[in-house]
Amino acid sequence: MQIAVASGKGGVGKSNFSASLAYLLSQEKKVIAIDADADTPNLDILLPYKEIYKKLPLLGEKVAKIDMSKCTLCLKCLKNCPYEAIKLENGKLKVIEPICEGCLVGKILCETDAISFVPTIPGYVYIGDTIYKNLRLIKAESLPGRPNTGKLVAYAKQIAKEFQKDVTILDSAAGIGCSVIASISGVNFVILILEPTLTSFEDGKRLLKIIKNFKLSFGFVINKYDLNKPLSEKIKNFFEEEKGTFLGVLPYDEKVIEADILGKPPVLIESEYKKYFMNIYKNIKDKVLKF
Amino acid sequence: MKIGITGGKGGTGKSFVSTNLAILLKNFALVDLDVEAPNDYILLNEDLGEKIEEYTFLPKFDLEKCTSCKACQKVCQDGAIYFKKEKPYVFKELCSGCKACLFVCKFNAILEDKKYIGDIYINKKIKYGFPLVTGKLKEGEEKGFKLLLKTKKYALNHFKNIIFDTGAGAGNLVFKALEDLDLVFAVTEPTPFGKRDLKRILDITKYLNLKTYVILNKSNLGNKNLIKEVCKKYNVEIILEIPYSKEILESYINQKPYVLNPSGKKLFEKLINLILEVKNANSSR
Repeated sequence: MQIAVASGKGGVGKSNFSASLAYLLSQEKKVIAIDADADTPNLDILLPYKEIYKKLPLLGEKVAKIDMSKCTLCLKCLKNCPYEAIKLENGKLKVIEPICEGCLVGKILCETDAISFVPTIPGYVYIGDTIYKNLRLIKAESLPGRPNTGKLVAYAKQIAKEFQKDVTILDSAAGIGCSVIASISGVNFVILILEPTLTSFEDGKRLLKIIKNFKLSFGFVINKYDLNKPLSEKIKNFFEEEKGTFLGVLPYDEKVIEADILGKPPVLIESEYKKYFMNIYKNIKDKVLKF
Repeated sequence: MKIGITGGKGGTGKSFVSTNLAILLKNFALVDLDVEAPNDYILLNEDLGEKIEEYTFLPKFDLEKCTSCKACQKVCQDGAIYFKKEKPYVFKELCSGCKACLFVCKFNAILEDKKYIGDIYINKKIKYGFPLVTGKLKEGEEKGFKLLLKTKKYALNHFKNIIFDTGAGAGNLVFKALEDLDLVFAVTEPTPFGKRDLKRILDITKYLNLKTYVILNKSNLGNKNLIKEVCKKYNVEIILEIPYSKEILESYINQKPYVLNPSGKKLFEKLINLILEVKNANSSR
């Protein structure tokens, strides 16, 4: 069983939710958590590694390299680079390496063979055991500024397949781009985290379109629901009408920040958040995992 | 003068800072480059405005000219071209529109078709007096980079003074959004998440050699020292602290920008002064 946690809008509480859910599940089952927010992975702050036993580079990517002794400064590569990753600086062409996607356009257009491609490693997948029993963490991490985090996420998911587990919890990135699409494609269930703001509502609706394209089942949780109860109610009605399973609400609770600073899943601290979370956990077990 | 508002972690208050800054600065255009989840128009309670549909290149095959040499398939790094019974096909979803196939084909067998990727919206004058430009990626389109490029270019062609609001994360979209700007504000929060993501943003602004300041939002929640350590290491200054307050929360919920309150205006004063200082220094250069 693979469950992805996603939201559209950032900062609504995905990682706190994922860490809490993964931790609770690990008390009963074998769990793998995947941090699929490759741009800014943070799950290991809440689920610290006891031991990282593998760090695997994402191979097969390459970036352009320009041999200035052959370059005639015709600028065809610069003008046609779809990523605008080539710059003219002090009479020399420079490849802006982080954003070069290795598309070969420059090489094809270069008449003097001045462009070649060299391998690059845009990111890594870390595999290890967390300090919690039965909870393994696979983290996708790209280097700052790099494209194609979706590929890294797909790689992390592929690696996770090799391990024995009962449940996989996948913490996805904000937004609706390639990374999120790679995260949710092929999972059994998506948990959408929302908060009662118009921005979270709108971004959640955008993500819903993608969830529907993939014909995935989904449920939803409203975090910090008490900050705007009327809007929470409206959001609940909307996503229920869209056939989402309502899993519960979570209150605004500053204890969550305390837990974050201690580096613990918030359900490990006695709090209102925990009380509400246990209800959500029960719903997930009854309605989603069915055990 | 081009200003970038970024942060790394989601939900730290990038759009909050961007919209409030734009209201106070008045003669800056606000450009929402968070193409995956653009929200500035919501915070401002405004319409998106006029729409320009944006497309990227998509190959179309002239089957009479195609010799099935498969050179296009070989150069396609997206894996978007395949041959079945010697006939070429395109996976529309996978194509990023780089044109490598078009350039490599020696038989002029590839024609230019297009793929819809999203829209640029322009609201020429919102109620607070400035223009709002929004890049909005089509749901299901995987790559926001092209639309971001086009939105940024549109803004640079039309306005001299701009605030660019970036998306969350620290990948290529944020990188491209920040490239060549005069001043960057990284909005963060005093948590271990804020700290780690801020580092990644500062790695990018350092690489791009951009003048950068940190804005610490929700400064009274969490542990400020986490952020101070990073700032010290990267030698950047925390220019503004925004405490979490009911007043701010309500302004957000009610879509009434915080700087319309006297306390909000006062808080942002320091930021405005800094921006005007940099602007004057730039224009006299």
